[in-house]
Amino acid sequence: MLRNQKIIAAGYALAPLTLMLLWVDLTFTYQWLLVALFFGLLPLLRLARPVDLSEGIDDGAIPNWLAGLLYWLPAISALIWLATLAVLPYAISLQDKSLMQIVVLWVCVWVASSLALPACHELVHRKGLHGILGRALSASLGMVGFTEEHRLHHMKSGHGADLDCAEQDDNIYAYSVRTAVSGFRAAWDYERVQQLKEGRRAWTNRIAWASVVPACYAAVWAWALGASGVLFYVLIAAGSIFSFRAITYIQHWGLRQVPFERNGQATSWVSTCVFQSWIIYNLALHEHHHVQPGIPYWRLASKPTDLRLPTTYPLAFLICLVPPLHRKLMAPRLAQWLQAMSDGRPLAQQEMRCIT
Amino acid sequence: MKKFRAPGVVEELIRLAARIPDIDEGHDLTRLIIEFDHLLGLTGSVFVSFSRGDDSYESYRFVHTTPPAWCQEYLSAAWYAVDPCIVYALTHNEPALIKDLPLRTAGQRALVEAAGRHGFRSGLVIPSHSPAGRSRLGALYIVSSDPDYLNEDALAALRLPLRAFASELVDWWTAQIRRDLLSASGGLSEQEKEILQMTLHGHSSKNIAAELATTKEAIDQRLHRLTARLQARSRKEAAALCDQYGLLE
Repeated sequence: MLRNQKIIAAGYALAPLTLMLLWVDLTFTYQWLLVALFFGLLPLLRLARPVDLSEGIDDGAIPNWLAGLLYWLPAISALIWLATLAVLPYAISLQDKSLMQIVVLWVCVWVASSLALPACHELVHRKGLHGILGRALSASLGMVGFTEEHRLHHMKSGHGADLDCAEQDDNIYAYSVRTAVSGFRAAWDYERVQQLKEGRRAWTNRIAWASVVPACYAAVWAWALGASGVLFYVLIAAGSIFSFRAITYIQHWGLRQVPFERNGQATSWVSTCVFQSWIIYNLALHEHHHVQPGIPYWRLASKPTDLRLPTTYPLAFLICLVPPLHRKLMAPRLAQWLQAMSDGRPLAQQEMRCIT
Repeated sequence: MKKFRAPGVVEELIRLAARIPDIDEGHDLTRLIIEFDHLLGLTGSVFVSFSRGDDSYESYRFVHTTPPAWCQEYLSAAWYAVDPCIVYALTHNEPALIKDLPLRTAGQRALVEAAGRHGFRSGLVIPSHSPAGRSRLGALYIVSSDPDYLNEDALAALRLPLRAFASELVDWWTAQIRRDLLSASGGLSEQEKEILQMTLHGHSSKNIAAELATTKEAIDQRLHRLTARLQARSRKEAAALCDQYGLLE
């Protein structure tokens, strides 16, 4: 367990740095660097040094400047991504590449865009400039109603028939399509009612205005690379939307029917690997986030009774792409946890172990 | 004759409303509302209290006598986010027939259809707003399985006593939340109240420290602890919360 609060705080600076790795990738045409980091190095680090995070940072234990930096890091990540997405079409060429090379390039950019999602998640919980940045970031990735959809997600989570909780026989592909459509519809409905509640005119619809962001990016990509550029951008957005759905699928899988008390049983799976926490702004300490959605990422913590993922997010993502494998890994863990909760006993080491 | 037209009903309703301030526990309030339902011949009632501008689940407080299946469906779909009765309560003071409320989105129409499936065929909504300066408000819904039971006649007969009843309910919830906040905060000392007051008025830690002859770090520590105890997102929110529920008086 890592307890040094200053080290934990400093580690979060890795999050925006990983986004900048995209440029290292492109500069040296080693377009597997980000992929290797996320899907290779992170799980290996976990295997070699399984260091966990259980306590949040106490602001009083770190210098003020570090606390301020923690607050600004997600905004910095957002700005890096927004700038990257605008400059990228001028830095790459699609004409002189084979299909395989374009696919590799897409994978590289997709991993970077997926790593921008945790910053987006953190920012949409804030108001003012940070909230606007979060909205812009999600819109740049094709999720124009993300702020509203995520607000509804928090409202619905933990209540019996929460549709964001995949059932045990739900596969990631059907779940992604279903929740992408239903999520947007619910977000639109919610924003329309917000307009009525706040007395706002029809033209102030925030989702409609957010749609200007991807339209502008599409125009930039079209200008730089033509129709193939627009297609590439659309595929980045599609990939990011799938990544987001996959994260939600992993976080809430199988929990729809769990007997529920608002602050009692689990609403999500958690993963406490510190290296992962550093690059995804503690997104994996999701249970605490649902109990207290307002508190910032660096204060999130885990409890010994939390329902633990058997792997870190990179592997969990790859595994969920193969539904039978996902079910085989997750169902026994869920059953063990439910049994432990029902028996009122502490979780055994095996029931909490994160393999890699 | 409809139950709400029976002699003595209005007086009994006022007596029930008068008992509300003396209730300490939520389950006792539910029992009182069951008496209320029985008195008026209702299928069920819901009282929802919420803060203007705060759509989080935590902002909403419900007390209801409707079937659990309806409650489950309502919360699962987070219908309080789009509920036409809540939208009405935000912008109106007058009780109204639920059937007359405009349904402007697909979500609102789905909610009303679902309510119909659960046997709620007619209803009244009675908004209740807190005293000036407080953002807490409420809406009392009374429903019947008879589509002709809660109609214009019911509205005319029950408008005044129901407004009194709803007003007592929103005051009760405000007092409950205030008690919960006091308990969570461990009580506020005079100095903490002063710090929060100054924070509310936009003073920086440096200014507050100078005013109270202490250090900026000490003020930051105090505010950080208060924010954590009150489970607020920021010190400004903590100060606003305390102000809203009268903890700074």
